[in-house]
Amino acid sequence: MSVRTFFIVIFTGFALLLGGLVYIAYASAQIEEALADSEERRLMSFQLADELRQSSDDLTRLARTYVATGNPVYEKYFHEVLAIRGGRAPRPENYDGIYWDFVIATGRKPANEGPPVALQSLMRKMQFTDQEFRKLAESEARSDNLVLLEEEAMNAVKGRFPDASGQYTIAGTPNLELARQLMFSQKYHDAKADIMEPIAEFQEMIDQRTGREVQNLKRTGKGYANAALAFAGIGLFFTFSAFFVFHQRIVKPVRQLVSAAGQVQAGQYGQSVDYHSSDELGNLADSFNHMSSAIEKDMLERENTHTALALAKQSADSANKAKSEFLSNMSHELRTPLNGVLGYVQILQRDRSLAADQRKSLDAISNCGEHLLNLINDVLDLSKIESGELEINPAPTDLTKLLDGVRDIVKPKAESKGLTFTIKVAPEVPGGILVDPMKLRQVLINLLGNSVKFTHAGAVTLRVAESPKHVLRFEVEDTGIGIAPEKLNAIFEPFKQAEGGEAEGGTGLGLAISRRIAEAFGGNLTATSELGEGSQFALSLPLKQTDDIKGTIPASTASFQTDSNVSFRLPPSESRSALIADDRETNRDILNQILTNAGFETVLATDGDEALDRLRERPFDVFLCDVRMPRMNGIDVVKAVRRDEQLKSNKVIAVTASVFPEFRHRALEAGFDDFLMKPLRVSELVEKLSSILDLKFTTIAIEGGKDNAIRDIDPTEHFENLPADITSELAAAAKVRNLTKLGEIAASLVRTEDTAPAGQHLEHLLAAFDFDGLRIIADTLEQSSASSRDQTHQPPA
Amino acid sequence: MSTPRILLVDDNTTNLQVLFQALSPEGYELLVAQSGEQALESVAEVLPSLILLDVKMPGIDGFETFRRLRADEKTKAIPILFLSAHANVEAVQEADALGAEGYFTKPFQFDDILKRVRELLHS
Repeated sequence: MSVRTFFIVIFTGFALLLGGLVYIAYASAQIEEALADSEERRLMSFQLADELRQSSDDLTRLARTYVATGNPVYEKYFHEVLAIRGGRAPRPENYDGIYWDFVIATGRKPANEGPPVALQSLMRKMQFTDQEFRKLAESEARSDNLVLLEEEAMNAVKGRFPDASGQYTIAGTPNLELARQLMFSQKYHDAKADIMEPIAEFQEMIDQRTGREVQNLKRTGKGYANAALAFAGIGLFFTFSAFFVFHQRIVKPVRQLVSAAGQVQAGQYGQSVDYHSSDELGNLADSFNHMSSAIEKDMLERENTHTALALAKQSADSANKAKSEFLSNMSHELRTPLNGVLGYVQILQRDRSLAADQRKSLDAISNCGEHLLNLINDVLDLSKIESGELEINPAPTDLTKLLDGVRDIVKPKAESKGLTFTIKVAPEVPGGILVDPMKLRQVLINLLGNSVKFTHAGAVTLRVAESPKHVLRFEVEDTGIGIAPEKLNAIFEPFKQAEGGEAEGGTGLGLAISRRIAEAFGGNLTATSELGEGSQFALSLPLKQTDDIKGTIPASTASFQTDSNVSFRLPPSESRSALIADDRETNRDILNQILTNAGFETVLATDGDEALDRLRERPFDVFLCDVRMPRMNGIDVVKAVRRDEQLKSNKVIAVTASVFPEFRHRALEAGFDDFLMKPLRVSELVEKLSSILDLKFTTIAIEGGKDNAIRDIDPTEHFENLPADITSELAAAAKVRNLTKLGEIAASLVRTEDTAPAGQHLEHLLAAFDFDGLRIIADTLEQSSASSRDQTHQPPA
Repeated sequence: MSTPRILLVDDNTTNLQVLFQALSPEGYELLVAQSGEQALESVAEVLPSLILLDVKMPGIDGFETFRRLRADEKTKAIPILFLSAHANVEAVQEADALGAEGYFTKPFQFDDILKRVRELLHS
């Protein structure tokens, strides 16, 4: 049975019970009413019977009084009694037993009169049975018979006597004696008794009948009471059964479901409800069990996924860490041979006996090496950024000094291209800010370097302002080639530099790194540009002002200096000694050559142990110590030096390929006086040695550096007065960049004195592979050959 | 027989320099271009006997330049050697499929390139 059916049955049952009870209550009330009716009818019946008897008595009394007194008023009353009983006169309202006693005594009648109603009609209204009615009628008829006797007596008083037909037509003398005899005769008494007899019988009958009725009604009432009891019993049973069924079929499973659902909610999945039925709750329990097991399955899967994810993350993290380590190691490994390449290049570049073309080759090697170094640095930077290891070390920084440093680097580059470079700092910008000066500098130099790189004429401007409040905004604006709007986002992706960037020595990582640094600062880096309309790069940083800029970290410029054309020497009167420890021969050799050339007395050691032995033999003015060495590494060496009373006064410089800032910290903590980064840069070496040895080196610039002065000459000037045949040949060769042909032309031009400057210029351009320069020449020549053709075709004057 | 003319195409100046240095002693007439566009312009002016073509260039890349040269009646017969920093199989296969006369990866072994150049020019 379904729950729905169950409810229908219960409610129908209760409705029927209730209906039954209502009916019983109604029927009982009916019975009460019937009982009351019956009682009232009995009373009324007795009253009617009594009235009949009373009126008979009244008539007797009035007739006898008249007979005795002869007062006609009694006769009148006599007839009124008859008229009221017969319905011929109005019936007084309180027509009780003492009515006539009162009238006779006072001589007046009460005023209230009702309508005339015959006693017979009243009897009929009482719904007597025929037998009962007959008894009453018999009594009335006998009373009427007695009236005849009484009338005879009363007429005898007046001297009237009946004839044969019974009419009082015979007049005579009043006969009172006769009247008295008539009124007190045996016959009269018998007639009177005859009246009373049916009345008594009537009363007996009424008594019996109403008694029976009452008994019947009472029996029925008792039946109803029993029925009500039975109903109540059934109701009680029904209620208990319903409660039991309700409890078993609904309450119990619902409670089970509620408790199981509660447990599921509390995280104890996989609960099941042990309730089986084909009804709705059975279905609900089944559904719940399915749902519960599905949830358990899901949760289990989720947990598994979670575990798998955690494992995946762990392995990704360790892979990332491995990647970082790999990159760091690779960076180190790449720097080591690069150190060899760039080191020897620097040595060779200081050789004055080199021919110009050899110097060009060296410059090319140097440029490639520098480019590779930048790439290695940038890749390492980017990988550190991407693995979340980018360290931002905010420090109180003198912004003015930092910008000066930036200007020192950017301005020469800009001016060598004929560009104007200006830095404009708004007055509200504070001098002291809390920022990572190295990183800020890196970003600014990258942005400005790009602008200079991609601007061929005009200006590059750096604007610094506080805009909006509490945001420091650096804007780099140029008048360069610009960037197509659709490429503005791509330029911030690694290796997506603009065309020609690579040729200019870019790694394609600068902007990617810069943007990530800006984000690490809590700021952003955005670009706006139009192709051919120049570009604007805006770096916004949260402005943190500080007044504490006394101990500001100088933003070193060393790593950006290209100094291959600088040589240095000890002052003539000075002599210094240096110990060089490195396990790699190339590295030892480079430092050895550089320092020997500079006038140092050098001693070499191949590892830490050996270096300590050398130090114990004699003191050195400076000890250049490689950090990564077998057996005893640089850190251990310097610790040993600092522990030893005899050795500890030695100046020790760490030489390392490690680029991690934490290493610098470790190096200084271990006892190094300073450190040098690989690949070595001569300028940095000079700077460190100067400060440690406290002396000034003589620096010599080597001639023949790349691009010197070539761009300063107006290139077209030399080519204006060349012979026409050479001009057209040159133009054709320049147009298709026929380098062989151009070389031949240059060689022939150099041979003649007039054309030698043009030839030399051409040779310079060819040696430098300066195609922009060649294009300018080609354009100029094309114009001049066109104009000379025009002149040739002019008719002679 | 006149001096064979070779067009060197690479967006990287250093690579051009290296190629130029390597081929100069052989006595060839050497022309250079720094992009696919420049190469096509150059070829329109003077026909080279051979083209050394870098694959990865901004703008029109090496493969596209190759297709355009082969599509043109005047230039379709010019032998072309691809140069690339990519040693991946797909690039080599594409070069092969296009019908190039050779594919060399950077860094170059000049002896190999010279050998192939001589073969093509003296055949």
